[in-house]
Amino acid sequence: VKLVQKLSVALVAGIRATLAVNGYFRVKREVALFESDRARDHRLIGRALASAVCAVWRSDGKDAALAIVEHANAQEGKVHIRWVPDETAGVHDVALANSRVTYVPIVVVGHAEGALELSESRATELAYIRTTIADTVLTTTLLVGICAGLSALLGAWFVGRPVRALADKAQRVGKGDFEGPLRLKQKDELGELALEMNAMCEQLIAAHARVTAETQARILALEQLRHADRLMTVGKLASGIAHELGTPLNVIGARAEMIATREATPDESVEYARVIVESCDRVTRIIRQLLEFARRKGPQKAPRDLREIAVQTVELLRPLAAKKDVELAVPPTSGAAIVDADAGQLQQVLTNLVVNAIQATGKPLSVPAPTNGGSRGAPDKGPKIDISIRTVDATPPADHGGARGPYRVVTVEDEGAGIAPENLAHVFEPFFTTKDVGEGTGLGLAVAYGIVREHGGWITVDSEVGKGSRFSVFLPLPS
Amino acid sequence: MLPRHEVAPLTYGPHRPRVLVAEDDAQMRRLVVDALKKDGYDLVEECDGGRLLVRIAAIYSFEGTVDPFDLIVSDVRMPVCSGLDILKGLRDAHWNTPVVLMTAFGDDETRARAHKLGALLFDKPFTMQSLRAKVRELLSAR
Repeated sequence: VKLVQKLSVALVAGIRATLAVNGYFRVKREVALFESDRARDHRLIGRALASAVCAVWRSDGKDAALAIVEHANAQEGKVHIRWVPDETAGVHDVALANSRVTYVPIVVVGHAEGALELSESRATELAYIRTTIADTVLTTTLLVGICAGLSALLGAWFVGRPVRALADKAQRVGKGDFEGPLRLKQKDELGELALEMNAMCEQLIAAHARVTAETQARILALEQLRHADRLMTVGKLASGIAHELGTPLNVIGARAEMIATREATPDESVEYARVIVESCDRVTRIIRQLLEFARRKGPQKAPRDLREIAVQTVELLRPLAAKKDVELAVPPTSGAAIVDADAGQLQQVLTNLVVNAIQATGKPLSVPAPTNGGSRGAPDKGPKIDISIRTVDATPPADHGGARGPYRVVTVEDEGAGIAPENLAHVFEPFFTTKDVGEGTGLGLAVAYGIVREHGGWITVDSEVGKGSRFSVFLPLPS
Repeated sequence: MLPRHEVAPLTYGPHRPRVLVAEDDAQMRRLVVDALKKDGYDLVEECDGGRLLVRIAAIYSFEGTVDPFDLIVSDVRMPVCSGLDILKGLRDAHWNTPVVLMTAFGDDETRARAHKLGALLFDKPFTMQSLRAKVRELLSAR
């Protein structure tokens, strides 16, 4: 039920109740007046007639007296008069259901001789009450009808129409359309509400414009950053390629030149040719790795046991580690650690990490240790590389995104030379390397990083110069 | 600091120019040494920036007992210490030994620093002819 209807019903009910109460009391008052008038009339008639009857009774006897009563009864239309022989105690009124009766005693020579009974039907009175009720009902019904009609009309005009307009406006605002201010001519609360709503819309338009502008500025800034980042990556790649290829090309060119100019003896020429072949191999290897980095295929994922991959990788690399006097340790397997992954690619990641660890551990420091006098493992014990797997709750890094949750982690921990703090931020960049020439191209960690990212994971590195490094590969659990 | 016996012994004649070659790539180092040997210089090789530094420091420490070098040919990017850093140290110590730097990626910054410190910069790949000619020119000017 609409608000206007509710208000109308309440108003009409109030009017109706007021009129009903008013009618009730009016009828009651009029009936009382009527009653008292009639009682007085009855008594007057009764007393007058009784005096006459008494006088006749005394002079002409009972029959003549009763004849007067008969006569009087015949004369009176509405009031029925008769003599009753009963004794009665003075003048009194009796109210019956359908009539009002008044008794007046007839006293003849100090002796009561019955009484006069004057009775009048209540039909007139009841008819009056009925008429009054009917009038009241008719009047109230008319009033109610008029009120209901008027309130419905006025309500619809002053409340319904503006409220509908406000509701429409609110709906439009809800859908994001803040334009077209609401024009209500009324100066009441609804008018004020419309003005407030318009003000709110203007503020929303301003805020919306501000947010849009800020978002666009942010997108633009981000694009520029990305562009700069791409340029930087391209620059680094170019620098790396130039450095990695420049040297062997120089060797090839110059050695060939020496052979061509016959500057070299025949024996030297043979040796130089061999050097050229070696350098070509090196160039080929770099280019192959670069291509692998550039056109890496997407991972062919399947549920795999991370422990199995780790154990296989370690078995493959054990000979290399043994050559450098490094021990590889994988803690005994305790149940499978399943991940959704490309086994070959993950093996490549682990291989790169473990080979790095072997090189860092087996590499003798080329200058006296920068920070400490050598806390590396005693030579008789032999350095160790630990490869462990566990499941931990972790929060992905900001550039990776995602919620905190459980991840499988493979940790490769060495007791090697460690990474200098200024180099730590660059270890995953393509062509970044601190290794001697020939030991690494600086692509291994970049490739590993790319593969792990494609598996929905990330790699972290902790390192302390002279103590060792720890690389952790985080991989999501299979969904 | 390396023990004294590891420093090159005094076996070179005083009139033959001494050239120090520092390059971490063994084949490249071999190439430069082979090429320069043909011009009759005495050659000393080092395989990284650290050793080069030790070698130079030895000359400084044992002044008079270890012959200085007439020219240094060095790679820019090497493990431990870059050729540019060593050049800077030399110039700070007021040593005006001619220096030829080799680099595979000579960006503007490297080029500017080398130029400021009075060194020549060769971009890899370069011909041995051009290197030998430049070395000859620098040594004859001394």
